[in-house]
Amino acid sequence: MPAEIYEIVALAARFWFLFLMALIVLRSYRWYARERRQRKKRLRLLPDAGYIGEFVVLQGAGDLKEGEVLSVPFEGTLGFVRSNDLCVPVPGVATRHLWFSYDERKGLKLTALGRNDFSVDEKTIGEEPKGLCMVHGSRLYIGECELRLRMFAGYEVGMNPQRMMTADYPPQQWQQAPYPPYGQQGMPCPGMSAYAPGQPYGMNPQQPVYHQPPQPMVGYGPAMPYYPPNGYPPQVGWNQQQWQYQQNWQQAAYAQPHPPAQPMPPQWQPEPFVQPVEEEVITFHPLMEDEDWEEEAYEEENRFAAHDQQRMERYTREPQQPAPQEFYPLETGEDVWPVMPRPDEWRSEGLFDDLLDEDGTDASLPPKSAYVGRDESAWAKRRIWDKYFGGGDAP
Amino acid sequence: MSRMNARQQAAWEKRKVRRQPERRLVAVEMLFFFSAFLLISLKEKVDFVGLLLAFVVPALIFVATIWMPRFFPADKLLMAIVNFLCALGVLILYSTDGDAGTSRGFQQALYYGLGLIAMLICILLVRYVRRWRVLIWIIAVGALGLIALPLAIGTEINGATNWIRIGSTSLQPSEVVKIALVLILSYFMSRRKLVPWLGFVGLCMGVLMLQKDLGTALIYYCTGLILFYVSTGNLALTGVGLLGAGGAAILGYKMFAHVKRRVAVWRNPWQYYETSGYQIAQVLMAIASGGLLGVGLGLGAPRVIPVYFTDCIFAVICEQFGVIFGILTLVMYAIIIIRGVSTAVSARRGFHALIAMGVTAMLGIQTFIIIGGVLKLIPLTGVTMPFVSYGGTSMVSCMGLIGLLQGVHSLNQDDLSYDYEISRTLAQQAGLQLADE
Repeated sequence: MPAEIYEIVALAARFWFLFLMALIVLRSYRWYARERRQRKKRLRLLPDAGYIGEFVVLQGAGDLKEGEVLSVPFEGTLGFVRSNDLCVPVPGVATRHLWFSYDERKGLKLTALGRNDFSVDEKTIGEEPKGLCMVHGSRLYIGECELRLRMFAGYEVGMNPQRMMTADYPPQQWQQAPYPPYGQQGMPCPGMSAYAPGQPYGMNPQQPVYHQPPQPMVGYGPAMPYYPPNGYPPQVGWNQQQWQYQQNWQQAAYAQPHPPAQPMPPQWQPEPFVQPVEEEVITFHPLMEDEDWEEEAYEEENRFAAHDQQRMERYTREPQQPAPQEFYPLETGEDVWPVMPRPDEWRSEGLFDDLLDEDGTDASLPPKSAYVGRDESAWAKRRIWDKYFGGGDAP
Repeated sequence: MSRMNARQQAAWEKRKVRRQPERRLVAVEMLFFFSAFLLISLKEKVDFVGLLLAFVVPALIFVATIWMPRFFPADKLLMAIVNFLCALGVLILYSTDGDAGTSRGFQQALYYGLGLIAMLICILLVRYVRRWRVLIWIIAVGALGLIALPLAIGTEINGATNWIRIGSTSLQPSEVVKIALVLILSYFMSRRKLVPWLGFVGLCMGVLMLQKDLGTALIYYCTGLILFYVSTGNLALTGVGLLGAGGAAILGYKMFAHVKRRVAVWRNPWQYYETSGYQIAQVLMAIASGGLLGVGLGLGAPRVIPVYFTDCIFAVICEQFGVIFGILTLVMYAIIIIRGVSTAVSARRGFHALIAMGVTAMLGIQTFIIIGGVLKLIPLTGVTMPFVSYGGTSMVSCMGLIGLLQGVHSLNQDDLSYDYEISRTLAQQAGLQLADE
């Protein structure tokens, strides 16, 4: 190609290359933004993603109350201050007390930082300086508090069932347990599950438990799990977590002193129809005086019209009284009676929705959590959301 | 959908595949490079190497972005951008080869293929190696031996003794050690072993100082400092590290004459135009002559810039394609860095998070040093522009780093898919349906 022609073509091609480059950058950015939205949506569906389990505070002290839940990531530090991955503000806990990391074969391995002391089940860190391993159901005694590990589905490890069971129940009981053989399915955490036999595992929308008294437990103790037939270990998974939180909430709610019984609220009832007193009404119908049936019809019509008008006025004058749907929970305020989203409300809570779209509106919302009250794990998740994913309105 | 017949259904599925974002992006990239290589190959006479590259480079982009991620859940966007930058380097080098009689473009295309292999190896390394305890010490010892090798058998190029010659090719060990540095620092920081971490960084810095490879030393130091801060969150000690770097810079300025000269050239290159300021002056003139839209592909006078094919290749891009194109190139680097940080945040293990962060920090710092030097924001230091500059070692090193990042990303995707699968199964059991199904 002659140099002059090439120069003209190259000069013209500048615009073509610039257009293609702009298109590449634009499509790259749109792709990036789209994946970011999808990631937010997926994380909202999986609020426990990135955690292997959680510590349940069995015995609290200081600012750590009994019943609180601390989500456990794959690895990190546990200590007194909030810069740790697990903050345990309890007397006796050092600023950075221990290092924990999840091992697929051994479980949650705990190593002391410095000369800090703690114990897992019956072993102390002094006996095994290389570290102690926690499995599902293990108890951690650190400072003045006692924590119990509940591992999520898919993160259980091989464990010693005898050690776990003997820690909770006498041998004659667990040997006769109608459980599936340990090691073949996920290990239940004794004392942490309360399912009646036959009760579907996970959520049961047809039987909202928050309106029901606790299910009667059969067998011995509260450890009577229902094993799902899908092969997944039962103790975890997101839905299972929601169910477990609901169970925890329910148990905590029933453990509270019952509010005093209150009478049923007054209920509006329509007044019975009273036949008006017959009065002699003289009507004049100049054109139809002779037609008695017309007069009677007119009178009858006026009588019912007046009565309807009276009913309507009475109805609108009286204050509206909502018809009570359920006796429980009592309307005593959220601070007294914690509110838990019921399964039929989860759709509106954003936990499940068929209509979620990639339009950005849903992606801008923070992840909804079914945690009750202001617990630590919700706070930690909120911080992660605010710090790394743009934040948003309070859930 | 239900009213469609089979033929319409097939057409709909085909259209859906065509409209996938990676296919749309890769199609534009392939069109870009096909037309660019075609134009260059017809410049004076029909160049068959150029015609070959017009088909080979788009094919490489397609294979690396569409075909390779079928075997593991890679970050396709990152892959597409990195491949674009690599191919851009091949294009620029090939466009400057014509008059000079060199074959850097074709060689860079070969290095690009080597880089893809290195990336694949690094992906497999991160994905499938579970026990790093022994391996990391082997890597550390090997890396220290490799980086110290130029002190014994190295040759001096452009003032730095950081090259070794093997047969007809030369190798820069400090570039290869970058991959090892990220792995070693991430491992020791994730295990909270500060002594070996500090020892490795100190030894590497000492060797680089002896080789007078200041640019690479700066990259190593900044990467180590960023990894230290990310791992510990200790702002005070990180500030001490920054103050130490500032003190070392002042000391170097007072002690070494060539540092003084470099700063003086940076402050006023036109005063030293005839001597040491010639390179940066030519760089600035090239960028200015390109203007907003450039002088045209294959035109201009890039060869008057010293080492235009490595350090100053960004000036050549700006001269031929214009400043707007250069800014868009920087946007692509920014997307790489954002994706790297996002991958690091999403990682569930400290080791993987630190690997992703280290790779991102290293690539970001290297890009800033060379682009800032070319644009006269900071004194010009001889480091390569990632993925674009000429050089097999640099290409293999950068692609290996991207391989580490891709490996971490694929592990993140595996973990997320695992969680999602469990939740989906339990939700199905409860009669519910997740939102995106």
